Amino acid sequence: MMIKNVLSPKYQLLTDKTYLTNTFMGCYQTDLLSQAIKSAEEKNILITIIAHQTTIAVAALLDLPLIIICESSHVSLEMIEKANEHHITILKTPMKSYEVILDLFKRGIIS
Amino acid sequence: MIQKEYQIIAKNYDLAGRASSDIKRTLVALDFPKSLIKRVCAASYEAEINTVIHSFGGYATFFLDDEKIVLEFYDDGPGIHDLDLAMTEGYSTATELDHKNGFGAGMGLPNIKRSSDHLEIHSSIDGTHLIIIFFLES
Repeated sequence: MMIKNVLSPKYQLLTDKTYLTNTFMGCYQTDLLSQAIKSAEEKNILITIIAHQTTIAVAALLDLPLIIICESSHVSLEMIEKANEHHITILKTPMKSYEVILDLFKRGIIS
Repeated sequence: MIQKEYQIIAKNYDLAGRASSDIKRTLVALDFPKSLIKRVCAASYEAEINTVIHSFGGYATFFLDDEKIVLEFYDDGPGIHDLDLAMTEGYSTATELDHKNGFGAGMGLPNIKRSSDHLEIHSSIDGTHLIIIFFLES
């Protein structure tokens, strides 16, 4: 499924529109990046409150095309630039992690 | 045979991952299997982040030949006080800042051990030296 299918008024796109046609498969939620390194699978959406350049570094290493930053965590300009550099999309939302998962599930984006 | 070396700066989260990214690019360019690349990158990134978080700074080396990939991480201390504890999942001496950046959950060394074929750790107050090996299938 394409990243653009996730877009809704609940999500704010912070990165370049160019990568919205990139695809993903499934999701992984954690606020421990080591846990993501251990268990996230290629093409997963990463759902987290950790908004830091390290999040991008981990996503780039694991080939995760989309990061959803929950609870409106502050995302720095440096993080956005680094995401664009690695062709990774960041969506920011006021929702909590479990609400994002429920939202994606209800809309048929994850199963 | 390929050999590379990378500097790792203590407490600099913004640059953390540079070495691992370059190692990934190298392995992707050489068309290694994705599963191996993931294992190498996982171990490399955890070791790199450990050096950033816990040490006074250090460096990493990457070595590749027909039989194996060897990652080595050297730092200038202060060393791992209790290696058995450090190898226990969940044990960490990380700070609040490390936690805010998504690390310090006490999974670094266990993740490195799980991802690699061989892990050797030498540590004293003068520094820590990690040798991480991945054997290539012939």
